[in-house]
Amino acid sequence: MNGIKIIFNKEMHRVWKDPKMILSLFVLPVVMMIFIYGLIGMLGSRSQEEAEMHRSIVSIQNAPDGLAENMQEFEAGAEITYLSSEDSVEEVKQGIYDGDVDLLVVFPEDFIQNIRDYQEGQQHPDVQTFYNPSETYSELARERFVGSMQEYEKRLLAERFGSEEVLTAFTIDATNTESQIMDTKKAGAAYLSMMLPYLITLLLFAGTMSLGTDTISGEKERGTMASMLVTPVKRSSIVLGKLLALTVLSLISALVYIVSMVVAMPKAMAGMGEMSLTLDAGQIVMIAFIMLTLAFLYVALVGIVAVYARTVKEAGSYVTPIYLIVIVAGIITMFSGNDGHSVVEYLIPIYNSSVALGDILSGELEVTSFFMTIASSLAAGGILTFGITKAFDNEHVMFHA
Amino acid sequence: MIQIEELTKIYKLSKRQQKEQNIKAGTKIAVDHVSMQIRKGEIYGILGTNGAGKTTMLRCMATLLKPTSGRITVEGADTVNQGEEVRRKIGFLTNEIKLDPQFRLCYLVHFFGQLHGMTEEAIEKRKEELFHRFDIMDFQDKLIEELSTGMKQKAAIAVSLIHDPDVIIFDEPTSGLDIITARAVTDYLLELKEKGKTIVMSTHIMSEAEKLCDRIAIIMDGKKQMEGTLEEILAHTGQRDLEDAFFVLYQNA
Repeated sequence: MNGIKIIFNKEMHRVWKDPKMILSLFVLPVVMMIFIYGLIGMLGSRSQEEAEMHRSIVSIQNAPDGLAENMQEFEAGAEITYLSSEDSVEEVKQGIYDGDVDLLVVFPEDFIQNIRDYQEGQQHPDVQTFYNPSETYSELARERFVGSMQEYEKRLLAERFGSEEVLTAFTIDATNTESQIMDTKKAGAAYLSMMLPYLITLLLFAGTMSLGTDTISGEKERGTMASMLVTPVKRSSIVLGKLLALTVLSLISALVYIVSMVVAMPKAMAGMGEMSLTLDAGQIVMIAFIMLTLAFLYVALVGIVAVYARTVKEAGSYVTPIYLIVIVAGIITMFSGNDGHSVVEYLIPIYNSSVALGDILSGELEVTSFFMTIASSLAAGGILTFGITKAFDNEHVMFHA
Repeated sequence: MIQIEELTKIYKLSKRQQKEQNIKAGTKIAVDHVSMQIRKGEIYGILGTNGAGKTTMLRCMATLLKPTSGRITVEGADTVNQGEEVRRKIGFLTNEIKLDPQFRLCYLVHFFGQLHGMTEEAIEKRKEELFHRFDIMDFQDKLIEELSTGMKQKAAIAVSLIHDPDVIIFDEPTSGLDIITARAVTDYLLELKEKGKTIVMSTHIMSEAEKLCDRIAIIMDGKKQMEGTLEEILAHTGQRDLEDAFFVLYQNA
């Protein structure tokens, strides 16, 4: 037990006494998160502001009488060129293609007359629009134009039927103020609870990856591992001391990432609604246990790869495919829906932790599933730790003998 | 005392190793039925060319490698079945074992002292003694990576001997050192011998073996060619110095 503590302290000392390590593991992630999400938020807001400020370049051919009065709001945000039926629209279409013009609207000649003379069974007068869906401003201009046309259509129909009232058969929720029945906490956290399990599992692994390969493969490569192996400390103590230190450091690293991400994310998501997550003590304890056991499993997983690798570089190349598996497991969880999960899913290491985290955040995790997840991670981590200890006793693995 | 009986070490070679070492067979005999007894209070030298099996023998003594066959006991403890007991008794130093460059010398001395079960007080006392002896007191707060080659070797010796072991196993302890540092190391080995420590060292510096070793074993291709005092080896080969004697044995091997 004392050997484990000594090795644990040494691994912690390696990180906490090295300013470069502290900077790369705990400071840079915070700075990067705030910078990245701040930048995303700033660019998003700027793009939204620009879209609002932009005056759409629109050409309208055969504009019917009274059109302008019925789309004053649209007209206020647009520079409209009115074309007659003799004018060619080819140049305008090329302008749309090139991104210089946002929208072309072609009304049929005698548009109003056709509406007035309409007989049941006839073809309705068709207003044609031309826009470029790959251009944000063009798409926005069409959206705004179609919106303004709905009101115009209503007025024309009112003319035909004598009153706007007869055009309405029923309304939906016009008087119902309690339409939305939901757990506001759950709804507010919906986005975060979808994203966080993925991010937690991913970032935990990212922290483990760099530290784990250096602590085991790095020590082997530098020849510093052998210096510990000639002391009377048990090999299992060396392994456990290293793995426990790595688990704690990976947890801290992931927490730093997650907290900075949760703090910085609203900056990027400004305009997407309230993004808050309130957790009770029970949820926090469950998340802590899931993260702890998952970190242990990751550390053991990276450890077994690192112990068999000859160099840090080799270990890095072996760990990368595992990283991809972790990413895929997280992505599957993100899109697995809320239909509940089978018992087997809580027994699949890594994936189960991601599922369980999602369930905790949405308040749906059952106690049995929680313990199954913990037990599964511990069992898998324990088996791998046993494997690492065996590898430490294997001279071929440790000294390539 | 170290007792080695019929020690054989055979390495299994991977395809990569076979290619690198230009060996067709899947195995390589590094040590071949070697027996020797290293007595308490003597300096025992193991001489041999590169790849002769010196380091493998020392690694087997230090419990880092397990013999394929044969047996080694250190002060009565078996290196295979009583590894921890053996490691408690020995101080082992080899060029392939390095001190972690990211740590300060002072921290590493304490760390290894703790691993050997020493109290903080005992570590501090022993550290003072060793650092004064090697004149590295002023460097104790430096990172290992900041030390010169000579200083690193002195630091490595201090770390390996922090627990004041009775048996010292050094693999080419003066290799790559300047003459002043090498002298400091050899003088210290003589001091340790005076204190009754058992020392086994490998070297390919003949003058060093002549000066230090009470008895010498000459190893070639994993086999012990000869063992004895300097005088016995010279008399047996009919030569005037160890280097010539070594060459005679090498040619006859």
